Amino acid sequence: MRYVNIFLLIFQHVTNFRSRIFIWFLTSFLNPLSLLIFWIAVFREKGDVLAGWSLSSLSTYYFLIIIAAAFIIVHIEEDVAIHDIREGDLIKYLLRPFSYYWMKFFDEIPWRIIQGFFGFMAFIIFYLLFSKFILLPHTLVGITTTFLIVLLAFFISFTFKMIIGLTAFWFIDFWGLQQIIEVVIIVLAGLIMPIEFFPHWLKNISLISPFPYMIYYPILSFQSKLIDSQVIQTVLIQIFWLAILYLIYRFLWSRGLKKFTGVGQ
Amino acid sequence: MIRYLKIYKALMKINLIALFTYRANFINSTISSFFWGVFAIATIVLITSKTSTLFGWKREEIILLTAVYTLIVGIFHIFFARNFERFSRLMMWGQFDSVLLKPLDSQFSISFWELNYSAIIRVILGTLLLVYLIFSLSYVINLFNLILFLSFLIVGVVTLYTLWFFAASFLIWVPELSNIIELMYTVNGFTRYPPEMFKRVSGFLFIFTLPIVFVASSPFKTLIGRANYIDIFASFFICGLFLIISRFFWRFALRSYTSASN
Amino acid sequence: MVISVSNLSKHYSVYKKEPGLIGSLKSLVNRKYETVKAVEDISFEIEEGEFVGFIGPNGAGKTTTLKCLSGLLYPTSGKVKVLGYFPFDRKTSFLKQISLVLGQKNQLWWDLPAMETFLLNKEIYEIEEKQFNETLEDLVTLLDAKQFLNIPVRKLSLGQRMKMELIAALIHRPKVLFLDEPTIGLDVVMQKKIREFLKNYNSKYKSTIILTSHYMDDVEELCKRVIIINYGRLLYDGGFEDLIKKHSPLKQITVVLDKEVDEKKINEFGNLYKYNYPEWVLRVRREDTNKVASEILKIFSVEDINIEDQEIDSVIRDLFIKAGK
Repeated sequence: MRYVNIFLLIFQHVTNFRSRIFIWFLTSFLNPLSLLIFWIAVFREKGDVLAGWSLSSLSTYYFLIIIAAAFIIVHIEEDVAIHDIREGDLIKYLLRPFSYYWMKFFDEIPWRIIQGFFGFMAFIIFYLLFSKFILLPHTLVGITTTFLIVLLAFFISFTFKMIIGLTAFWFIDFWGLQQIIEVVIIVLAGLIMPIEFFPHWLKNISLISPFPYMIYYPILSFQSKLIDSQVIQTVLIQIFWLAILYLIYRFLWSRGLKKFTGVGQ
Repeated sequence: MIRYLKIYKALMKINLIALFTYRANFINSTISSFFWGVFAIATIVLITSKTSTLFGWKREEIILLTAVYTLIVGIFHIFFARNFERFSRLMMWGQFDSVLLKPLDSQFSISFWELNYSAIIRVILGTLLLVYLIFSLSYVINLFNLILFLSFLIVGVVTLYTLWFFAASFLIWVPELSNIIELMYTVNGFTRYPPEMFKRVSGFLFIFTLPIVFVASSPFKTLIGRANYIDIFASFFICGLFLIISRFFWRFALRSYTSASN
Repeated sequence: MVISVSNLSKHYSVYKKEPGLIGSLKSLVNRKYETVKAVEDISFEIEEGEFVGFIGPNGAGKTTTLKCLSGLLYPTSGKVKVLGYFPFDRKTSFLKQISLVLGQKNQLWWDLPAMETFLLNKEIYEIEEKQFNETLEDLVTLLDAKQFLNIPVRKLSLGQRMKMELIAALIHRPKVLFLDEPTIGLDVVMQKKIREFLKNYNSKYKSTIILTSHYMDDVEELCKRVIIINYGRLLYDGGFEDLIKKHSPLKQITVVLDKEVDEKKINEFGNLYKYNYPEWVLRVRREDTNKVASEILKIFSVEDINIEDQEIDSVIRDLFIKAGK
């Protein structure tokens, strides 16, 4: 199938850059690491448990952030905004009998798999070195529900980024928006620290946004920190957000396309 | 050396002209710089939100350290950051030759070619936070400490520069490694934390992060009059040592440079 | 002797990757390297004011040679001296006297008028105010580029940009100028203009110029002396005219026939190169040209006949083929 061929080609292209991949991995790993060092120092000083989290569960959290961020956070918005819309590559997608959404999806997948793979490798290394620090899920049900939550999280992340990319139909200044969004995601998705630790007002803002459902809840699920009712609630809210985001996407797409093909960029 | 000063003056001028020509870009960069500046500060504020003292530091002091960090990183971004990104672009597209053909020391050419004036917003941000905290904590600053503080700011910036330059030299052998520059931004972020934090976790870690750890903490300590001779000596020593190492490494790298063919 | 090259060799190691997915995976783990001999034992000398052409197909080693001459590459073996310096030392005083223009790669600041780049170069090359203004005026007049000086470079057309690149490269009046494919990608009119400019520049400033090109017209018009390189080896070094005479013992006769002729007769006549009615091209030895031509006129009904030297391209191609053996 042609999607498979495209995937293989991109995979090849990516393996040419093995040293780049190593550095990507280092970069994604150093930030959570600095925060983890911070918490280890805090635990050494303050005791064994903080707000219901032990050092082990917190360490696991940060290690999982590395994989989650590598695999779930998508970077397709730059491609969409700059190459497709601004530079006009969009035309070649319009000529094909496939949905733009799915074509970009398959463009993005190889990168996510590679990065997720390296994140996964990193996690294995950490597990072997620091096994006493790491707690993993151990029930079949847990693994299944985590898989579902992760899958939904990925689609939420992807759809959201597609929407951001589409804003380039109207905004000349894409980079400004993109930087702001990146900062917002890092904070509200729980990449700095578990949302549970946030001050009240920030926690509330975060929970009414889709971002925790991209990273935070998948990680909690993986750590078996969600009881059954929470699992159901999480999945339902994810489905809710996915539906809303997809509707927004379709709306922006049809409006944007009219503008694009009308004016011709 | 006067020649190099004259050339730098011309570079400052041409960068200023470029700034006025591309005003939209300037506004963009300023917004971007501002947000990342705020983000770096907010991260520290967030993670220390539940505690009042850590590793022998008061929470306000840790935030003050972050203000100093913001100043240092702001200055670094004005003079150096963009040049490293440019260098990685040049290497990636095989255009490094144009640098070597100029009758100019290549390290100078690579390091000082562009100036990112829009990062001044970060310097302003850091300064405002710094002044606010100093007043609210009622620190007394005398002129001597202030001068020392400014010198250590510069030492800190230069130390960061040498680390970046050392890392960037690897691009000579592996031109596709452009994301090593992104990695260095993360390394910069490590200077936000008090040295005592690293010491707490492991002595080994502390030694490993030694060059970074003094960058912001030394100016901070001199500012509030808490510096000791060890800090002062270590900062200067590390800065000087790394300057020499990075220079030698660069010359070594140049010898191995194979210009892109065709 | 401005340029002296003796037994210059430059070898690279490149890595090989097998095609396909398995190859990619293999290359993640293990890489095979092999040596490429870009330049192999080349020697020549160039005097001041000469305008020399380097000819050769892509990958022949022309660009590599230029890079060795300008100090970008360190020779694997052999000796190179330019203006009395070893280029690889990259001494400031050496670099101030040379210039290398590499195809499309640019040194102009993209968003600003070219003038700003020139002013920056003025500081870098330490050009005196008076000389700077004189040279600028000269170059701008020779290139007919005065009105483009203050327009941002990104708004200029390719040809206008090339002119600005040339000015930036020459504003410090280099004694030695290396040009790598300077007319590539330009339209025919622009190519002519650049060629004219180079000719004038060479005669006015007496600078030594080495030009690489695979456009024969560039070399034919500008260079009295050519050096032919292929597979890293020097095949020919001498006058352009001599090249034609020595290596092109044949002349080409192009006949336009009036009436269709039986192909058998054409073949019987001999010396056939191409036949496509009404055009008939023969290749004959120089000394036989007149005899053959008059025979054709006697036997056939001819509308037009033309005698010329073998196409330069094919001369060189033949040389390459001979060398390849």
